[in-house]
Amino acid sequence: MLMSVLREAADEVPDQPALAAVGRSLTYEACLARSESFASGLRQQGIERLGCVLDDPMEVLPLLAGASAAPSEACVYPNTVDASAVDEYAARFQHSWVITDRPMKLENATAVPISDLLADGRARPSDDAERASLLVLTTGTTGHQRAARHDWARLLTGVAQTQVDRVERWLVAYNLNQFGGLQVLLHALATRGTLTFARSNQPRDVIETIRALAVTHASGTPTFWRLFTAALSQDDLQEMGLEQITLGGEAVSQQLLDRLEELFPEARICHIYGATEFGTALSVCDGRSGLPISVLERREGAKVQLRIVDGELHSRSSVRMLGYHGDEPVRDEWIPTGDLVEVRDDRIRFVGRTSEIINVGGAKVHPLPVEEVIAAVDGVELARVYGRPNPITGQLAVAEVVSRPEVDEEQLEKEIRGACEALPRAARPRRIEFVDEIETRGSKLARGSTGARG
Amino acid sequence: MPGDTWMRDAEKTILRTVNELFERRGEGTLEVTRASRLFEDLDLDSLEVAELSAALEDELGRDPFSEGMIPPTVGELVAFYDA
Repeated sequence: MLMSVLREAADEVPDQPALAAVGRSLTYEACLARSESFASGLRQQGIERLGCVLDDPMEVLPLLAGASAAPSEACVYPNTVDASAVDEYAARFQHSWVITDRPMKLENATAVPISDLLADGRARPSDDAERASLLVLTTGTTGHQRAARHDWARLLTGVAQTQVDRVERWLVAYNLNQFGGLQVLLHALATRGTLTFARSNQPRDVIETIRALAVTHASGTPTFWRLFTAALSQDDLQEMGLEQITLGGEAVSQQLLDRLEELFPEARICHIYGATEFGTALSVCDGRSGLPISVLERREGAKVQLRIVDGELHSRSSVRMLGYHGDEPVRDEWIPTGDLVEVRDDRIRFVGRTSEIINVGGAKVHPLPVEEVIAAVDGVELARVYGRPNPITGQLAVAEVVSRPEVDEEQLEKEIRGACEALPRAARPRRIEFVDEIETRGSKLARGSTGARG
Repeated sequence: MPGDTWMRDAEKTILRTVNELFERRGEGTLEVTRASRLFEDLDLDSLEVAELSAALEDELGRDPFSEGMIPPTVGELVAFYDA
């Protein structure tokens, strides 16, 4: 489990920073000591399951490692939520204890200040620790999120054990409650790297941190990277030495990959296909969007196998979750991913999610290809296409667009409509609304149809 | 009368929206009057009517289609806003 990995790393590179933010860091040895202290504290207080909400991301790894050794099943809540949402999570996932670094009073659980967990003594690994599990929240609206139960041992086998010749400094532009963030954390640990955090995932904060801490590897969602590229200045580019850029959690457009390649010609750019439920299926680093069809040839024994059934990707994974909290355990079988795809030019291309299909008078419209057409129009920063209820056609495809600064929106709307002429009529967005920002959840575009206004 | 002004605003919005639909069809402009029938004369199809409904909802706050009506002519569409 996680504590053993941390212990091995601390034996090998005790003085190297495991975690860093601007102005502070924690070495592997100090991180291990803190984790062991948390493990003792959790055991002393008899905490077997916990939720945590931590504003300081540098507390997450020590607490998760401590919990894995106690053992105690941890669940990281998003640190973007307020006390009432924390209460809601605690009730839904049956957490009697919420560990936090905020002053907080809860109705449904006892809020435990994280400093109260620091107990003397180094915890010896417990026999139970081999069975330690973790709950990972899926992205979704509060109230509709589910929690995937993972087994630490299985989760760790999913992390590639690559040898690296020098220290990688990873910046994680996810929140650590997200599966993508957790994967970066585990990778950094496995490669004895340093995991760095920006003050927030706002592009400006991330850029400052990359510059200040000489970050070499950075990972975030395509939505994050799109906003990041828009915020970059020439000056920033010269001060950055990114060797690798990783994108995951959403489908990636060719246009974004090309843009990153143009800005960072020296960097290796990879996009990852994976999900909280089935783990990381593959990492694609050939500069092209979509997945190579060769992935469909994987045989039994591969960590994650993929196949296409009626236009939807199905996965069979040995690094899958145990099951959703409050639900039946999942078996070793083929499971629909919810990702709709088309095969073109030897490539598996994502067109949308089963839950996002827009039904316009019986015609099925997938939002992703439409978003790509709009995003390719000069002057568009970000676009989201969704279904709006309509009395005539059931739903209508409509778009929200964030324009770049100082763009004439009336002209831009004409250009967007012009570009959309290439699409089938039902897919052309019938209303185009210019907005200041597009709602995101965990740095992913907020998905699903929204109700009509009013 | 204030109602009158409002109705003229509604009429303007309706005429502008219908004209935009035509422009986008690339078939040039068509004379739209209160007597024009939406389906027979203006030849609107379901997607265009759906768009008209969404546009009117956005710009005038409500639209007859969402309230279960299908006004056959532009004049009756305008009259809806007088109610």
